[in-house]
Amino acid sequence: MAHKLRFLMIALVIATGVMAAHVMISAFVHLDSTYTGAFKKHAMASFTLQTANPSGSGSDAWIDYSNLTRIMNEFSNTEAGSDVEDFEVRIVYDTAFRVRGNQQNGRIVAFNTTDKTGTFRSQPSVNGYRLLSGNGFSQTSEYRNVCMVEGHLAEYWKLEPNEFIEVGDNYISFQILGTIASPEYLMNMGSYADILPSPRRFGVIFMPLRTAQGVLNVEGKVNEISVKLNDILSKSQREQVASDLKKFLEDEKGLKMGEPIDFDDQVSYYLLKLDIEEAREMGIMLPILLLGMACGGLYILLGRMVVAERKDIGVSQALGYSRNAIIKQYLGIAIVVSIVGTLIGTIFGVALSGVFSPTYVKVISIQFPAVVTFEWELVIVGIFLGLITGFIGGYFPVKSAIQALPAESLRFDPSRHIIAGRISFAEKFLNKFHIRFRVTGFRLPLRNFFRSKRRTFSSVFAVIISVSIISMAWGMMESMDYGLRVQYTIVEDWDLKLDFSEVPTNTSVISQAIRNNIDGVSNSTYHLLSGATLTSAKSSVSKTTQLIGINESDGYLGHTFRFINTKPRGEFDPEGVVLTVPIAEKLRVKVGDEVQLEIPRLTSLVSTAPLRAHFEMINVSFRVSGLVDEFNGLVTYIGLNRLVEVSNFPGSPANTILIQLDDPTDTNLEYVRSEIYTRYNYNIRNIYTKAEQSSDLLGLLEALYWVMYVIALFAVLLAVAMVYNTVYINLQEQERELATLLTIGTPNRHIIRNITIENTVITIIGSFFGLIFGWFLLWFFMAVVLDMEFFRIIIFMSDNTRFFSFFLTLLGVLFAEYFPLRRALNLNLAEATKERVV
Amino acid sequence: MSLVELENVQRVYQMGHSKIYALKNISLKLESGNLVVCLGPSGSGKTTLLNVLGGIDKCEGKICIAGKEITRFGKRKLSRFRRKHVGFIFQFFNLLPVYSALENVEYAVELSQKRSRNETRLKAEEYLKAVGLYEKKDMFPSQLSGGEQQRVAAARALAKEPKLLLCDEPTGELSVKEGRLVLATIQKLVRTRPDTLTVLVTHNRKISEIADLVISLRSGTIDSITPQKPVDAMEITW
Amino acid sequence: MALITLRDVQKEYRLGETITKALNGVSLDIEKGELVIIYGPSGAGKTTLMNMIGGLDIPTAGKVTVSEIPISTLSAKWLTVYRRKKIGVVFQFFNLISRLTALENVEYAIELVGVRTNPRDESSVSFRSKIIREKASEYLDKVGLGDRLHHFPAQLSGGEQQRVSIARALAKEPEILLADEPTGNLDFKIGRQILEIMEAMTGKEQNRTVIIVTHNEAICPLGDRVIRLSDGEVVENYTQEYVSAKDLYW
Repeated sequence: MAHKLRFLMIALVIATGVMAAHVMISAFVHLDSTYTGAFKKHAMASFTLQTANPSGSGSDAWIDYSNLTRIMNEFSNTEAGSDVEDFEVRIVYDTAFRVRGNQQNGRIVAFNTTDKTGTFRSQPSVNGYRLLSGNGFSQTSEYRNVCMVEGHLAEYWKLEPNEFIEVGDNYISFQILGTIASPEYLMNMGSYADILPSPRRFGVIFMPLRTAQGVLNVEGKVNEISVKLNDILSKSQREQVASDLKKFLEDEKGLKMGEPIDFDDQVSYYLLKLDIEEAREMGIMLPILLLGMACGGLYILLGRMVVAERKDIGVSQALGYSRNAIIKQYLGIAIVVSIVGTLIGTIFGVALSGVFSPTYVKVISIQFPAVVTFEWELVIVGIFLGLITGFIGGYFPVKSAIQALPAESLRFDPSRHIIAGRISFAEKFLNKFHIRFRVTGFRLPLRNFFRSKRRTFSSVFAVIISVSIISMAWGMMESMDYGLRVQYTIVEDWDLKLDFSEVPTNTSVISQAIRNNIDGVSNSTYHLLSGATLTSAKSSVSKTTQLIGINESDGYLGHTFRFINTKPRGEFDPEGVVLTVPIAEKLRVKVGDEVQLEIPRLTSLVSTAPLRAHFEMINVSFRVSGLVDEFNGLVTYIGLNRLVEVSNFPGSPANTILIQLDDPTDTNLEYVRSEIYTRYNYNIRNIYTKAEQSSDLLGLLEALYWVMYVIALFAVLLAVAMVYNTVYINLQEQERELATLLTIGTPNRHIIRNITIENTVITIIGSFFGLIFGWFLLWFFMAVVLDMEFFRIIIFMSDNTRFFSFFLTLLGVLFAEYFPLRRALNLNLAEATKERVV
Repeated sequence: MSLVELENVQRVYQMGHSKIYALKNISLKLESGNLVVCLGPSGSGKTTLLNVLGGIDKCEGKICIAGKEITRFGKRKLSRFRRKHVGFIFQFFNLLPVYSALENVEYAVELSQKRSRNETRLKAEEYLKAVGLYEKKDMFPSQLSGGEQQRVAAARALAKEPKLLLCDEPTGELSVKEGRLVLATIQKLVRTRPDTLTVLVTHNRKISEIADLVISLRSGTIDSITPQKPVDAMEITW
Repeated sequence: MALITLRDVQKEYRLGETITKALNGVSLDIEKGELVIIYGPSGAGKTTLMNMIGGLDIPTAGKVTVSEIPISTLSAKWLTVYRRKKIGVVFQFFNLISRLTALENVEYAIELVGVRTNPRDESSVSFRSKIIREKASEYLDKVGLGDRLHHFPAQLSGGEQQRVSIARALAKEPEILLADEPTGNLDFKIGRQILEIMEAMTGKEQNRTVIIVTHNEAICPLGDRVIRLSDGEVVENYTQEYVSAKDLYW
């Protein structure tokens, strides 16, 4: 029976919805328990505190290990430090690596492998790790050049234990003992200054403290404190302890410390939370969308079913069944369908979440084992959602379709809403221009199309759903691609990017030298990349962002600003700042407003090469000169000259040089890259091409693509199924008319032609609205649900996608048309023309 | 040669476990220019006879119409045959609801004959005039009474100028007054067409009085074939 | 007072944009235990008249009273109760529920009125449904379909379907049995069988009122009373000595 098949289909849609709800929501629950479990198990620090200038060399950079340990013990015994459960003093130092001859930036994390009593330990007391492969440190590791590589870095280069990695400016060879996961680096991210770094820009290795001290030439020193506090403390209590400690260290011990970073603000965890939050909204929206479709499907199907079975209904009523009893019977069908769907969905949901959650955890590249638990609350929520869908989809159509009197049910014409003919406005309009179609030609589909608002609407509606969902799903992927493309073809206006290990103060000279001495280089400029906190002068909201100081003196910015429409018009003013839209929204500032930028100001210079100096933090006011909406949504652009001026830096400091080539072919790029390496090797951390960087970024977004492909696939299937349903039912309703036409001798091809025309017109009209609605859905998903500040997606839909959604839907319509049409053309004409309708 | 010749025509249905002979061994010759009424109670096979004549039901045996053996026709040829030569009047009118009275008639004209649009229209109007509904030509079926719809259906069937006009209980859904008018219309129109054979099926003995020839059916066989002097439809009642 | 009285009953239908008068001021009385034939050509309003008596439809104007219940003024809810308690209907097109077997079709009707079970006996649901099943098969036996219990309507011949439909109507043990062209879609022999069954099961001793609607004049002799309709009006209403169904011929 066709009905059974369609009910099964709706049950399956419900099942998919319930399953999606269960799987996706439990994935977040599981993810949550996965990382909270990891935090607990590996004693994630409640806060960390670095020295004021951790990459420097002076007394504000390094603190004596045993001294600091003593001071920390002292602090633990004070009133303020009574909640300190444990601490670890470490080295956390950003430097360059070389992996199989390739440049790699990253971070050294070093902890003491010997405890207070002098015995070996493999784990630090705070901020531990999980061994993924190979071995941990051993007693013999202490002074040897051995390390453990954090999972993200290991995965990117496919590093195996016993391989070697070169570390630091002198590229000292280190043997890799094993690979590890660290709760501090759930996502591969080091600082707010470099959000979503490509895997080559950031990677972590762990090494024994003594080794690190040797490599960095800071014997007996450390530059970071990780503190684990009592778990029951709130964020503000933790912050209180942190600031007490900072005060204690600075005021009583004369040390110079940076700002403490709380557990919640730890960059990798913070970004993970943002990521998850957005994905969770999606995890709720998708099931709702699916269940909504199931509800609509049930509504249409049951409505039509009640109409088709009017006779049975009339008979039951005549027997003495009440209207409510019959409503209950049909509602029962809907409920059964939803129970079946819910059951299947729940079973598969529970089963699948055991697979999905670990996959999800893996895909967002968290290197800890997923904690999969059975969430009975979610099962109940799923059942509730499924049943509600059945109830809503069943009750209303049935209630409105069942008549109060049995005679009315028996007399009720299934096509009551389609028996009236009229000449539509559209046709009258055509007639005005003497366009009249033949009665045996286009006039019939034209009349058919306008004969019943409800019928046409339901067909057009199905097309709208189909086209909009397909175009949305494809649009999502296109938007991502488009965002990246715009970023890398327009905004990132360079061919090669050079990162320095140490900030040189003569960047302008280096830049000029590259421009003048290397063939093929047409332009070069330099940027100073750092992090900074921005505060709105008006709303006093603050936000930590990436700060890029742009050198405007060479007539080449290395960056193209695409200002959004504002009044006054946006521009890059070397005296002001350009903000990305999410920052402006967060701070609630407009072009022309003032913002406070917290930047370091040099108080005393230690050395210029490498740059070592003492700083204090000062707030400087800048005018917002323009707003841009770029893929990276957390950037503040500032004129480098002005930045250098207010921060009192010597010379022209920068950590990046951007180079443009006359003809950026692969060979030319390689030539320039190798030339730079040979000439200026001493301080270069890495040189990337644009393609390398964009493909790295694409790799990072893999998980998101994966989710979107799944949505797109579902969308296409559901959309085609829905269109099929509607077209099928519509044709069934016309069976008697088709039979009459065939009886009086209308050739089959006329009928096929007319119906195809009608359905094509419906598809075209539906597609028009569908594309508008699809755009809206896309906007909704991308701008509202997936509103992530650290990568902005520009909403984009190509003509190809538009055509494709139309074409695929049309294909579905024509496919749907085939079976009922074939049936109609093979009707028993004698029966079909005589069926009693009134 | 007669217009319609049936030779050993048989139609068997399988219903449940039993075989039902809707038509049993019917042989018959009918001439054009006649109005033939098939009379019989329900289940006598009269409608089946009409269906096999119109080529919308299959049967065993041989049916020749205007010298063509339609029982050997394939679907496409049957459709062509119906298009050119058969006019149908159904019990439930079966007008196209989306078309006005005139358009319903035009449809049949356009389908069966090659004419210019203007000629098609004039032809259709002519037939609507003949059934007395010219002034309602732009009305849709839902705006017409049952009797009027059936008269439009008659115009549609006759506008094709068919060799064979088949009417299945054309008054079945109508009041006596309306039914009488429909019958009178059919009777009057077919009298003007000596090339057309009209077969009208009814269970109502009174109605059979309008026929030139009454074929009485019973359980799938011919009970009697009675030629008679037709009574004017306006003079009968039931 | 007669069991059924109609006073100046009118009924109009809207069909598309036209209004049809199906009944135009019908008044009549039907006594308890009568077998009434409502006879007339198609379109005369017979079925509409039957619907009025059966509470399947309500008149546009006029009054219908059955056992002193003014059913023309009842609400839809009370009409349902009325149909359930008093009325059994047999339709021309059998109108069996196609997705239920013969037995289930009859059970469906019995389910509605319920069965009396001794509360001290097993009163479980399965016991109750067993009783209903027994009763349904008993009625199907009575119409000679004891061997067709589990056939679906599509697997039954027209006459068999109509017999199921009669069993279904009678299983409720209604006070009034309405039959709308019960032989309309059957050939003569099977049609007469149906009438014989109806006659046997609704004989005078059961004191049940039976109303048969037909366009077949030959059935008229079966009735104690014949009401002839034409164009929505009663043109004849007379009582007569009835003739047994097996003596009918058409």
